[in-house]
Amino acid sequence: MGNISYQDVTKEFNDGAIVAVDDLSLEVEDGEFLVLLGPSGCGKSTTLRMLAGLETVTEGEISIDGERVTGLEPRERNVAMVFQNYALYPHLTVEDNIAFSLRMNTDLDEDAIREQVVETAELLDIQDLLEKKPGALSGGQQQRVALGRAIIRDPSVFLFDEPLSNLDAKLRADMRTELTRLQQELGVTSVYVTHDQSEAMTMGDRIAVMNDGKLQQVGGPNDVYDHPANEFVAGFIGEPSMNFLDVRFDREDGPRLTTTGDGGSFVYPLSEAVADRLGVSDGARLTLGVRPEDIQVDVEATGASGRAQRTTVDVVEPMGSDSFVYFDVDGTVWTGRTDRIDRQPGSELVYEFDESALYLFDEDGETIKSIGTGEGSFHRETEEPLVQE
Amino acid sequence: MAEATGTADPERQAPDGEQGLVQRLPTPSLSFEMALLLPSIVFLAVISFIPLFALLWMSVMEVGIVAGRSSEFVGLEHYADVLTDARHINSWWTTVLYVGSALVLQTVLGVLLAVSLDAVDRAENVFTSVIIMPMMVAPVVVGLLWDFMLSNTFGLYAFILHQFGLFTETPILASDQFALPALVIMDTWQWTPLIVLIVLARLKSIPNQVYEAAAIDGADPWQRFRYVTYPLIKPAIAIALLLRSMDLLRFFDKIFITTGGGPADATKVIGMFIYEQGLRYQNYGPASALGILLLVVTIVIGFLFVEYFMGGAGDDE
Repeated sequence: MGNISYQDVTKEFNDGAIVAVDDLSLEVEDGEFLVLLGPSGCGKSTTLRMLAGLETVTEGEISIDGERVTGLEPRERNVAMVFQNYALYPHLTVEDNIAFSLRMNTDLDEDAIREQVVETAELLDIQDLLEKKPGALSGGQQQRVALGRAIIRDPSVFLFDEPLSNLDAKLRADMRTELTRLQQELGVTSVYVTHDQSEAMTMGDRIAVMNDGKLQQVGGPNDVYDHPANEFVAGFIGEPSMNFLDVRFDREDGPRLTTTGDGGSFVYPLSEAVADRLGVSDGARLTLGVRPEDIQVDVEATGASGRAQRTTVDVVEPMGSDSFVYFDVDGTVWTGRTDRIDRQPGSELVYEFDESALYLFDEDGETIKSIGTGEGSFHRETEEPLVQE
Repeated sequence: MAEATGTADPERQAPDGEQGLVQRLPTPSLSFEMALLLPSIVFLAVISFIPLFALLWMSVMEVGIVAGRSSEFVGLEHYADVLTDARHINSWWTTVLYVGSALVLQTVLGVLLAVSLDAVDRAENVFTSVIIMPMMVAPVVVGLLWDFMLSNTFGLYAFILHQFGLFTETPILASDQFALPALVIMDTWQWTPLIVLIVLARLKSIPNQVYEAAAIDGADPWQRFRYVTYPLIKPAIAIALLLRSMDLLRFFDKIFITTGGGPADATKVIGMFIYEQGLRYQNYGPASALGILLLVVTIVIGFLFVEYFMGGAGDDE
């Protein structure tokens, strides 16, 4: 009852001077919770606002429930939206705010409206606030009222435009859980825009990562994390973010990744089995990536892999359960997430990481190898592209 | 003074030494504040209270201004005259017509223009500048300008009216039916921009998302204005109405320049009447009584606007 489809949608501002959304195609299934994730200005909000009807579409088609909505007014689309700054009507009480859409759209009498408002308010635990005006409420309460205003309409689609960004950290985490619960309970198709990747990971059935107006990848939270389609997605998802290093693939003295040709000292030997499946030629320029939690840090080299590298500690940040270690790798600062360690800045350190934890990207940023050494880790072998065009 | 300002409880509980300190502090600072305030209070008294009391005094006296004649106390006689005399009642009626129609016309036009200006996204500043220009012109100059434009010999507006066969015999300002409407339009031309400015400032402070939320909630453009925009600009409309009604009630300058209250008292509003009684015929008593009544009416109307428009909408933000 609420599937959404974007077909080759483009949005330009200022007569084409700014391309906010570039040829985006995306399908959202009925009842699904899709998160649009990306940095500021990537076009994710514009994508959502076009679905709501608050922005026109320059090219392409959007449909809801199989019905083309591209030229329709917002009020004709049966969508409900929750805004970042709540956008409550400041002159109306909470009750009137929630009842507003029923009064606009239906012929219900006041008793029936009142009954529905109370029911919705109870669902959100705001039944005590009905007589108050928005100005007298806290941010969290206001956002609940905004949610109530969206829920009461029983729309075919919920749209969320960074609804938790104005709340403090503790409340944000609570509301995250509650929103997920509510969405599952109501089973309404939802599109949720955020720049916060932890919100995206925890809430979304699927995540659509956007950058620069283009859709980068669509997939489940773990898929996007384990098998990013490109260097941007790999760097954007994960906290702390992935470490990168520009390297050269060298086969002469056994396959390895190295920076020695460019005056560096980094050498990472690869097994023949992995090297053969990469599908890259000798001397190719690649970007190596490794997640902080996949790095082992020690005082002395332990394994016999021959992949341990020597470096010096930059900073250690104790995080309670574990520590973040910042160290130098050929002029770039890498982060390692390790068990608690106590190390002075400038002291010696040995780090290593397994071949399976290795990510490799080509010069265009496309993924060559993602996590693991099994099928699906070598992207030049698989036919199916991860990026949806 | 010191005992009166200090709160009772902490004083009773405080030990002796502290009590002295608590008591001594407010006294010098209060008198210092008084000293600072004194010049402005004296100044205010001289320029506004003394004339006000003089006016009250004159309104109950038969004022003798010729040497040798003394003033005579007549009680509320002037007030009774002002409220019963046919010419006075006619003048009040003219004022009500004038103020009412000008207020409605200016407010409706002003709100319409402000809402339209708010919706324009290109060259908005240019439009705003053009629209507020009439407000910058001195009222007397506006009177002269319109007198010229409506002149049957040279006037552009009169020429246009003549093309439709209107006012070819008698100029519009000499028509006892249409002189007042002409003055209303004159004042509307000049003062609608003030309402535009006040309402526009308020409109700019309403976040766009509120309109977007209403659009998604199913409100059509008229409903968005009726249920979202209008309640939110109501306090601004109240302020505009307050300012305009005060100004319109004592309206004088344009009438003085154009019609002088005529023809046959058709445009003799209270302001004009007071001028005529007081300064032309030197009837200070009746003129003062009229002035006092006008002040009372102004205060009551202002109070009603503030109560009606700000009572529900202004207090929650």
